[in-house]
Amino acid sequence: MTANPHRRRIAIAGAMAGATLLALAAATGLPHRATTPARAEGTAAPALPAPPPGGVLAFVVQDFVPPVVPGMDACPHGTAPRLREIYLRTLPEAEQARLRLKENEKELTRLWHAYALGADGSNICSQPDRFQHAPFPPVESKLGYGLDLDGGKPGKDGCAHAEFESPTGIQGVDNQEYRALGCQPEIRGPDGNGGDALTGMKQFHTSGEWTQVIVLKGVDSLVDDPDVEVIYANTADRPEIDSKGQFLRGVSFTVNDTAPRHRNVLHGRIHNGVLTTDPADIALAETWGQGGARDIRGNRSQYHYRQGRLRLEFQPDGTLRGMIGGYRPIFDVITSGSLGGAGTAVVAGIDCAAQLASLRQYADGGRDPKTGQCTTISSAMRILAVPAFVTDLTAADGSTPKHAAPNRSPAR
Amino acid sequence: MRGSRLIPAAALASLALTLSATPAQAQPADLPIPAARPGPLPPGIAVGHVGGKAYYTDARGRVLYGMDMRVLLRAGPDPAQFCTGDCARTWEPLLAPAGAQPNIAFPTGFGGRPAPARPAGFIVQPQEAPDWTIIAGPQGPQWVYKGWHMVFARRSDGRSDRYDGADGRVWNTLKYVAPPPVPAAPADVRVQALDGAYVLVDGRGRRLFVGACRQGCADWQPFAAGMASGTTGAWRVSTAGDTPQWTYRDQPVFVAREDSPMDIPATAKGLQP
Amino acid sequence: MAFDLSRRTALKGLMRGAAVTVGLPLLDCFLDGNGVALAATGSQVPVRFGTWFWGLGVNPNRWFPSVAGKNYELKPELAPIRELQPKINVLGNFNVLLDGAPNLPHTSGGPAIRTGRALTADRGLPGESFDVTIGDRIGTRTRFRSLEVSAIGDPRNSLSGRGGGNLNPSETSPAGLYARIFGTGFKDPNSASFTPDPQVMARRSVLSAVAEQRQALDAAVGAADRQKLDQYYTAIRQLENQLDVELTRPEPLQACVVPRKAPPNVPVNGEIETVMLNHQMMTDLLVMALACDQTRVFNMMFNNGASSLTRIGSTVTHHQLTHEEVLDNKLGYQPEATYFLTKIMEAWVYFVKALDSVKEGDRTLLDNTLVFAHSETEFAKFHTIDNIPMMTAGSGGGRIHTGIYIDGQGTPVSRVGLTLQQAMGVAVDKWGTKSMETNRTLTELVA
Repeated sequence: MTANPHRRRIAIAGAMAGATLLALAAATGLPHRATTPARAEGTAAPALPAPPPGGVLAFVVQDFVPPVVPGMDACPHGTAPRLREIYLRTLPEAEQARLRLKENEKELTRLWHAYALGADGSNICSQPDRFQHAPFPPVESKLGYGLDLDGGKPGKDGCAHAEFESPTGIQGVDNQEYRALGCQPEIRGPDGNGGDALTGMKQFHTSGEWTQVIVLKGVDSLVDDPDVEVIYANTADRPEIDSKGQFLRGVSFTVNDTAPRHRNVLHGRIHNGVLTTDPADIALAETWGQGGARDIRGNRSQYHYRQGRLRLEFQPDGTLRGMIGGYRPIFDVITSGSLGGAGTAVVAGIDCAAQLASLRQYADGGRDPKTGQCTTISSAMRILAVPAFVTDLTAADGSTPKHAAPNRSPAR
Repeated sequence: MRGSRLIPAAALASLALTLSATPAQAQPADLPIPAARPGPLPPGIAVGHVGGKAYYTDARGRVLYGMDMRVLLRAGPDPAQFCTGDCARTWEPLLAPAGAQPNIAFPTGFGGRPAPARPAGFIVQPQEAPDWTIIAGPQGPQWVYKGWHMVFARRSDGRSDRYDGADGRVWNTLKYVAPPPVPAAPADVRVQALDGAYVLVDGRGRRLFVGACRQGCADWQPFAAGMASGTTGAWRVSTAGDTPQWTYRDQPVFVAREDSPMDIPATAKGLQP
Repeated sequence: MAFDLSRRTALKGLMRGAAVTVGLPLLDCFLDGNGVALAATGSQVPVRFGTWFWGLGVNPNRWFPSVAGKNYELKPELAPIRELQPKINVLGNFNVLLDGAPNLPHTSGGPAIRTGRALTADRGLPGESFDVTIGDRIGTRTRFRSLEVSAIGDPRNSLSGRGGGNLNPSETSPAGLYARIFGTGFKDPNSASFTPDPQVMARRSVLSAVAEQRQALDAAVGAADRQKLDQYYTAIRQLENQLDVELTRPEPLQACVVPRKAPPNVPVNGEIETVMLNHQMMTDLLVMALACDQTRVFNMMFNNGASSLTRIGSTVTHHQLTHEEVLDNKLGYQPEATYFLTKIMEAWVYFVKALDSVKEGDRTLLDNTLVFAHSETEFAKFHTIDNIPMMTAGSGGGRIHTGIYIDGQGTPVSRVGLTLQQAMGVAVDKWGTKSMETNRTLTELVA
């Protein structure tokens, strides 16, 4: 339960002071832009301080955004068209030209809206399987951010696919979601840089709807430690924001594992200043205005990374930067649009059926042995996490203690 | 200084989720299950137990499952028509009496075609539905539980609850949570589930308590009575203070703070139905 | 006089030879449940309060000033207010805290600002909107407790109400608004003749006729019921006061110029030019309703939350553009959608100027009014509800400072509602619920 914010500020005052002292010990650095590459693969870790006594560090995730390699060379055909345009392209050129005339706009609107609807009352976003649309043109560049999920070749439950090379030097990057949808205008703006999603997602993380925290336990060294426990969880608490929209450091958050909140317990290691975790299912909150009459899918949407893992680099400024990667059920990717139903199609102009076709075409995980079709798609999100205090109310045995003294995790 | 809380923080979080999830009329096991509403059950439906858990059952003692229509929206614009073919061979619909008129339907979404005209009394918002309504199913009028869950029994292995959550939580056992008791109390007093028990709260969801304040009494806010209030059961109005205040068994009643509605002072005793 | 008290007991009297009866409130001896709080008495302070709503927010980096304080910077989308800047406050960086309730697109933000509560249903209001609370304080001595107006049509386009699913419906056409204000029941304060309405006289007399029985009834009930009756009589007196307004020859009001002709019947639709025209006509009528003291509280909805504004002859809505139009990284905004914001700011300036053009002594009507303007999202494309743009215009009779940009620094938006209520004389020291409960007045705003 979110505390009264005024009281919460009082309660964290001591923590803030501690964080300030610790932060002074570290070099300061300007926040990276979301598209700034992480340091190159294989380069030496920068000078990092010793972990705090007790080996517990905690962070709140500020950025959780689809990573985009800037430039329109990735999308030589431009960004993906809106549904109005997709409909027009189904028509002979002369008819297209006629409908594009201003005096025929009402007719065009009626027609392209009808294109979003099926005769049986279905619509292109709630029931995209019922519409056979061609996939969107994919990202054609060789460069893409993400993680190598399959070790360079698809396993027995994977499907053949091309792999990206990261601009930071990681080979064999699996991010077929980016390949399928990286030319969508929400992902890539018309100038080739990251699109609306870079900023659009932030509200969900600042409001407490999706806010994520990361707790590292048993850390003996930020450079090398073969055995680290990683708690990756959601919290209902809101971050504090500075005047530039950056999350303040040293703010307190509380985690519990009461459904439908998520608390993922991962095992990882630190090598050369880079934390990686073993593959495991990772589930995180991703609600879309669900509640009331609009709770049409039973409060079930979430980020679900199968064989998910983290690759996060400790930074001299105290932050963590890196990626989460894993395989997402393909429909999860378009859950937001699906929940919006016909409104997604006729208001935002999104062709969910074409998106689903793209995701199916490039799916590379969870191969169905009966059909041979892959049902999940490799995916990645860029993460920037800043130091925080996290009160983890969940005991080591997974139970929720009734009167647990807060296990406060000091920030660095 | 505030009194210590009797309810642990985790239970508070649980309550918050209970409150926020209640409109969702949840049945999946990992969400708080809303209580049944008082009233008779449809004919043939009873409450039974499997492994110590209470479920609705049919006349043959089979565990009843709800097919959550919301999860099936992708399958078609009217998920009520989903269960045919293989599904119908596995799941037997709990049909309403022959000739029963449907009084609920899956709602049409934003931006879609307008809903057809409905007769008076038809439930337009499923989250506002009573516990038991009737929908037009593929095999005829069929019972729906709490607006969203079309009621079925499994044709084989019908007395088992092990299919709870099957098919990505499409199928969920219909879990029975007894309706909260109705106390003989003023109209503004309600019953609230908290940590597996029921407590009394006021109309704004703040816990009610009695006891004696020894020091630092700022959190002992009187539970105010209306001017026209009278005796209800063990509840009376005291006009001894600045404002009329409810008493319970002659002890003045206090109300928790709005920003921490389940916290009561350490020396207080929370009221229960 | 003895009473045989029962639920059917009524106060009886004679009026012009005919027996009249007035029912009694629900007394202890009738009821087991709680009583209902009665309305507060009206205020004599001659100030007005109103709201002005627009849907779909702004482009934050082109609207909000960068630095808090007086003489705030006017970025391109706020520049139209330049002439009125000394009388307008801008409020930014206040947050809507939902405590786990969903952010329902275009639906959650407005009610949170108006009620200090998070909406959990998908419609209506989660509590009483503070314009209604203020109306209870300042709006009881006029013919209309408040007037609600929607320039884009749709009577359900309203954010005013006492909570639940009921909203105070909006007037949707200039002609309808004219008929309501200046039609039947209107008494021109500057007219040479004055004829009280016989129906109003009858209602007033009924209340007077039963007065003799009050003392006898008081003696017949217990202490708690006497308190209840006191409140009931207070309410009766308040009703008498309102009826008196209609029975008393109004004071001449210099600024009141009654429109002699109803506005023409014009189309009501979402076309921006139509909405602008309707807004102008309705603003002019509303201004005269205030000048003629027909109401002291108003709520103007320029457009709706999920704005159905269109350009003339077009089918593409403002709402559609905010979602469909790509955010131009170079420009930093959506040019097509922003066209509508430009028109909205133009309409806001018209509204404020219309109030400021009416002289009331050495002040203007705007000076004696406090207008609170707000949207329902910060940036519509993403449905963001922190940092929703808000403004005030006028000083409410000198009760607030003006010409300031106030940076909320991420504190709850309920601080704005709390402060405005306090400025208008509502006795409230904290307001809002859960994380939006606050007792932190915006002290820099209060004069």
